[in-house]
Amino acid sequence: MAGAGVAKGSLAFVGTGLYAAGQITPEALASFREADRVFDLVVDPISRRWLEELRPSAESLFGAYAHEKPRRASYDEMEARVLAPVRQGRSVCVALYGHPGVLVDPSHGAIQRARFEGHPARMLPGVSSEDCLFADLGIDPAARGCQSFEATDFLVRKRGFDPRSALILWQIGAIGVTTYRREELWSRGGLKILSEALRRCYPRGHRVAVYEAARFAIGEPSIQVLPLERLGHARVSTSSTLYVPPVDASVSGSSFQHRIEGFPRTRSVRAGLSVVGTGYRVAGQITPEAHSALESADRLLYLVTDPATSAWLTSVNPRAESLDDCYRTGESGAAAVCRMVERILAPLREELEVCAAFSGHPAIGVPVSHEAVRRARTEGHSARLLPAISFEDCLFADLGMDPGDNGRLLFDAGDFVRRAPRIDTSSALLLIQAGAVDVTNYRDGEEPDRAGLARLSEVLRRLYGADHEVVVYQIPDFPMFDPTVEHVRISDLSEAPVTIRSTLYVPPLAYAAKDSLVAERLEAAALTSV
Amino acid sequence: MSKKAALFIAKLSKDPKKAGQFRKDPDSAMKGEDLSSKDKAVLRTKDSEKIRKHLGDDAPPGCVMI
Repeated sequence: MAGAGVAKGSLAFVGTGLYAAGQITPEALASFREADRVFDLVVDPISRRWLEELRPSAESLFGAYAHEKPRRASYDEMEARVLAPVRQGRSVCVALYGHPGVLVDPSHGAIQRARFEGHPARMLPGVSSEDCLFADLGIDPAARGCQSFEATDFLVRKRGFDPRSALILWQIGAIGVTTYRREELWSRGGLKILSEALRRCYPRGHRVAVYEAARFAIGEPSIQVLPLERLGHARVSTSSTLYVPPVDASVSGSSFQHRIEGFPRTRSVRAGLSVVGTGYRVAGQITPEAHSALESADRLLYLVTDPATSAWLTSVNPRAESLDDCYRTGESGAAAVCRMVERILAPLREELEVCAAFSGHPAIGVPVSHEAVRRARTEGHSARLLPAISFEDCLFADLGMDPGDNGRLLFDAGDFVRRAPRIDTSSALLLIQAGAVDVTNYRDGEEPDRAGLARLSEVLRRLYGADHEVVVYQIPDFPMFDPTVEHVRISDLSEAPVTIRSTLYVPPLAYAAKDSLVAERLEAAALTSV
Repeated sequence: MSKKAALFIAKLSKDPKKAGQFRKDPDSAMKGEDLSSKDKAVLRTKDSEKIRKHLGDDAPPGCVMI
């Protein structure tokens, strides 16, 4: 314990995004620059070199891995290395690629240990590979819900899911493997078992995407669209993620394929549109690539949730205009979306370079982004969506929740109540806009829709029981404040301190046991496919 | 709209150390900054709603994308 006479250090884990120079946030960068001791774990040599340039004394944690060494042992070693200087009273910053709390074991463990010993410890979010997937595939996970799992966990614990919502599986190249391996793909056999399992839930010919985010600013993501039956033979690495679109005809294989394969990778000669997210905390989470788009645009149009971000955007680009006047009190949100899309497209049609900026991640819960990109491309312009820090990235960091542990089910609260998706209560559930269940028209103020909250509470009560405790979470407007984190019982939810912007985190009800037969089968498959 | 106060907050957002200093001791964090006494008084309250009002608002309060 860092009691009297014991040196008090501090610990920060930050995310570099998928490529540090383009996706690290200013708050993460400041932490990395200022700490007494810095460590990093990044997967591409350019990011490593860039971090080393910033802090020549930066120590890579990569040496903790060794071929066929259990990853658990590597994580323990990393934890011990970063905690040693904290215990000597040093401030320590650890930069990890992607988001430091998503599918990352040592960060959560080290933060808990440091806090237990009395040292302040925190996590700053980073752009995750899933953030890149949403941007690159043009998917809004809030539109129809999105269920994400670590692939081995998905199979071994037989996680339940609803095929009417999107399904994302992480680490499909490492199924059933608990050691570190040098090869690109760790288990072809595991991938085939996954393919068999999914084929039981989707129709023949259902098209999926094997996705890998770009690792360099000038690189392209890898996107293979293929029928589920061919998944077992796909080009897959340990960085690959599987996206399975909803089964319904409304997102049919053909429209999905068109959306992915129609993505214009070559630059158009016509003016282009960049849609970016500002993250939260005003300017603290903007990525360098998004900042560059904000600054260089002939016209910047934005919609943000706080006035400080608005003032900051105007200081970055004097040609900035807010889109907030597209809302009309009492009118449907859909009408505002149409108006915003037209405002964004108008300067583009005059051959001006346009940047549209939104709070958070521009692909999550922002229909304007997707529609503006679609329309711009239809009209022959280049258009891109850049990933950003989302509300859930902040939640994972602030609540210390790793979505890889039990999976993460994400739904818009209104959609969840109306459509009643089949969910597995042993996974973590996030419900966005918990205070706006029945709100369809725009209105001023933050007051929640209490009747809608009562309906939500009733649906959750049937699934989890009245006494199950949930967390009401809200990102603060300003960087010097802490997030709102309120623990309430489901039975008390309708009277809880919720606003229309609150997110509800429903922790798993019970721990899902491993199916030992499946685990053994995966292990055997991994051994034979080395 | 108090642009100076807004830009001061933007500065805090890029500098976690300074934001931490503000949390502990707002006056020392605001020392030497180009802020009016009204700006300082409002920021000192650490009240999100008061700060929002002081900054002015062209962000839709409770923006919901439906």
